[in-house]
Amino acid sequence: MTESNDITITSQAEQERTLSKLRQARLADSAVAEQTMALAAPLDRNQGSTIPLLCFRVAGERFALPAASVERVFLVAAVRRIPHRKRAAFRGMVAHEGEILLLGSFERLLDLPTTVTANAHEARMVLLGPAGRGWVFEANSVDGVMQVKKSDLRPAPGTVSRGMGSATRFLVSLRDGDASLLDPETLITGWEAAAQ
Amino acid sequence: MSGFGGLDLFELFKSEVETHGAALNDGLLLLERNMNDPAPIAGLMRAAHSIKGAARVVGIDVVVALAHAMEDAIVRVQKGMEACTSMRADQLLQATDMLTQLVAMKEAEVPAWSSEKATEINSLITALAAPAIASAKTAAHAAQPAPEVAAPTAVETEESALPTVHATRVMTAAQATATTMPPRAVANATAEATPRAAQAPTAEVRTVRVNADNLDRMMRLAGESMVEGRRYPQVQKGLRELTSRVRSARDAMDSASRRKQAADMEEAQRQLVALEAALLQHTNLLESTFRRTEEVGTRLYHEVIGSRMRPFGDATAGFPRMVRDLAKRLGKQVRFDVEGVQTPVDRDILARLDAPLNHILRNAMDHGVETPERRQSVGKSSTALLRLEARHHAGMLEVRIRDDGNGIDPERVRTKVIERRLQSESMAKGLGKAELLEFLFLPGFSTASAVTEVSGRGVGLDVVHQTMRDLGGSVRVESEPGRGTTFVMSLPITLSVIRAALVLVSGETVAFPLARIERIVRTHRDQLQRTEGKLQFDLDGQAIGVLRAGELLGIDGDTLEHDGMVSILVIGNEQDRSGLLVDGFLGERDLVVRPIDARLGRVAHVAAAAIDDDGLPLLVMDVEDLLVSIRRGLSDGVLRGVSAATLAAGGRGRKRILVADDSITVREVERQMLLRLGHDVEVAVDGMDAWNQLRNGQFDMLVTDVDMPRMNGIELVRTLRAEARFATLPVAIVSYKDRDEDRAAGMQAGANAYLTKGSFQDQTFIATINDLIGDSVA
Repeated sequence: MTESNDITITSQAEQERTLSKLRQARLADSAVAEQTMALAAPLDRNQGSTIPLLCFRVAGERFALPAASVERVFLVAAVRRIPHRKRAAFRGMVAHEGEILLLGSFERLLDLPTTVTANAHEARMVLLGPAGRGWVFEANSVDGVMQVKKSDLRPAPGTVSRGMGSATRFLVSLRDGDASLLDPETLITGWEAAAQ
Repeated sequence: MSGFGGLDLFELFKSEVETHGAALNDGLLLLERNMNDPAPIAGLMRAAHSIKGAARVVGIDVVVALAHAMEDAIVRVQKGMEACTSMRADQLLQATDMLTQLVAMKEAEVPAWSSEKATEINSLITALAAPAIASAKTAAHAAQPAPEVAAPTAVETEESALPTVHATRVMTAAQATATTMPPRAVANATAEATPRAAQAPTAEVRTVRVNADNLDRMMRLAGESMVEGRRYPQVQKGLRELTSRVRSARDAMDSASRRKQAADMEEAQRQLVALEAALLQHTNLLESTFRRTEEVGTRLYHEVIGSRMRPFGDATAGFPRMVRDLAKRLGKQVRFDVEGVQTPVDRDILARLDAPLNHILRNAMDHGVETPERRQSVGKSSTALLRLEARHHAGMLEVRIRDDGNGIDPERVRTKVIERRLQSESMAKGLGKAELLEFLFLPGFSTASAVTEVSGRGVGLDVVHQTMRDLGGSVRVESEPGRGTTFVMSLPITLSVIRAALVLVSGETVAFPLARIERIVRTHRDQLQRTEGKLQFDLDGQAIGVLRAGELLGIDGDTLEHDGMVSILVIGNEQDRSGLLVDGFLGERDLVVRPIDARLGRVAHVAAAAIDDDGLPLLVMDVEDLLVSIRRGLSDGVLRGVSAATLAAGGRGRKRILVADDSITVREVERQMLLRLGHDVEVAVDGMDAWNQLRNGQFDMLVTDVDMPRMNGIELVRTLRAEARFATLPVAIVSYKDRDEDRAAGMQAGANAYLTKGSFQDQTFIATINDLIGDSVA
């Protein structure tokens, strides 16, 4: 299996920083327990062999992003549309902590069905990407940050990974099924194009 | 570069040079005006000395030497060894100009500047060191305009006691620091300095000046805010205790009610009374905490806004010198006064004021102010008065530039208006003085008989006018022939905060700056009249046409009418007003504006973003841009006035159509035709582009060519028909191919209509669109 550069987390300190950034996410008890165990694990087990992933659900599917690429998870905020910007993958803007952030549609960008109704209590907004290039998307729910062994990553099928506009790089086996591990840069580039 | 506490030393140095350079300019002009007044000398010495010290810290030796020579010259004046003659003042002013050139530089540019200016600086140092009388040639250079630095002087003087400055001795600050650093630190400093020099154009750190008192108040308020925040855990703890006591009281009540004992009931009641008192106490505590938090937050907010303000004097520091130099050059005598230098002005406005003020002052010096002889011949003092004033008036910043010169003859303006055919002769004859003076702000309009180097040919007042408009202000001119001219600029006090009307457009809250709104009208739909089917209403005797704001902004979903009432925002000016039909008005707010995200590029009709009182983002509209779009859209046929049918349909009826064609000409023809039908149109350059847009967007129809790269039209139609959500999307193929088998292939793929491009000539194309998606209600 080929390892992708953008999901390499190099140090324990970085993992802790990432987890700290995500403190706003309301995690399930099981997720908290899982993270606690991961953090409490001996260094030689964690160092370089596992990566923290933010796992979430959209349109009935499970997805994961490298936790280091996620800046913030917050409660769903009101969306404002922007004049003359009509591409469906671009939704508009939201405000959080005094910042005005651009909002992309995860479903529209990845061509997922938009008919899945999310539970309003579970829906969260996820801020992805570095400062100045960040994009927010809405997830139906956020399962939390999970430590995943790199050896558990499997290549995505060609029908997906070679498909135009696909952002899936690997499949990740979680306890209750597979999640698509996404490339943050592909998402950001797609939303940037949609916003023009 | 080497920094201190996170600050850039070179930036600090520039800041010092700017401040002390202004002090040198002001002091020298005062001294020149009254050579017997010793008051400015101490300030001049301090300024020269401070620049010398700062230059030494950052290691710019040429500046150290020049400031030293200036200091010496000023000391000689102070000690009475020589007078500050006009010639000496010129030399010192030239030296000041030289120093202040550094203010606009990047650190990496300093070595080159030092090399280039070494000879010139050495000449200045020599001239300053020489007795005042010996520098006659240098004095001649003072007549040059201020921005032009004097050419190297060829003055023969006695040998200066100061060392000659060589360009090779110039060091950057990092190099200077290196001389006092241990080897390892030197290596670090050098490593730090080298890439920075290479990246100089992008690595500039932007710094702004903030009044120290203002900063102190902000820090105090931030501290207070933190202390207030720490009160909340106390409140929370108290509430938890109360909850526990409520639980105990409830248990006591239950128990008393089960046992039916009067003593228990009384005890429970006592607990309830105590609870009520505790609750009241907590409510008061919470109220006071909230009140204090809000108060601190509001004060902090005002201080932060206030930190953007700079004194008006920051923009005027160079003008006394400019006026003085111009007066010398033009052979005029002028007393220049600046009033209101402490008037606070938003730093962004201040930065934009320099060019308009510069232009008007030069104009006044060149055309307004007369020569001393001319003034005396008409009974005026030989010295003209030129005054620049700033003040806050009626919530605006008012800047006046007044001269007591020639004034502007309205009849000459009238003649020019007729000559240039800007108005018919009969119309021009009927214009009043104020109307005539408005023509001065037209591009290229001038009554000056000669073009001069100083103020040009009248190009510029239109730029002054445009700058004022850009800043949300205005400019007017008042003049009395023979008595003088006054330019009056009226500007918002700050650009950071605007008073705006919040308006609902297609369910979205947007802000319109109040200063840009002519009127807000709520009226019954029956009050709207029809002209050629389009709605209009009467405002002060003027018929105002109505357009849908949602259509103009490209936002769908407007609800134009509520219980028969319509809301209309009137924008424009007296000559050209338009009414925008909106969903409703939400009131007025002060908004702190911020730029929109650069990744969006230019968003038409949007000036800025802001966050409203509820913490939600909103956009501030660019009314000027809207007016341009309205004018252009109406004449192109892309926009149409609102009809009664649109109002009845609540604005619905426009369809969104995707046009796919690899020929830009055909795409544009189809786009224009569909726009004229009142639809929204997006374009795709080939089948693949169209497929991507269809998947990511919402369209009511597809119009596609057949022969296109990457994915042809037949493949495109087959691909989309394979997906359930596109099964019913109306599709029209428009192709040059007109054989029956081509038509059959298109229809078999799933198109609803197959047209040839000849259909553009007759009504077939339009009729087909209307058949497939219905007529739009514009």
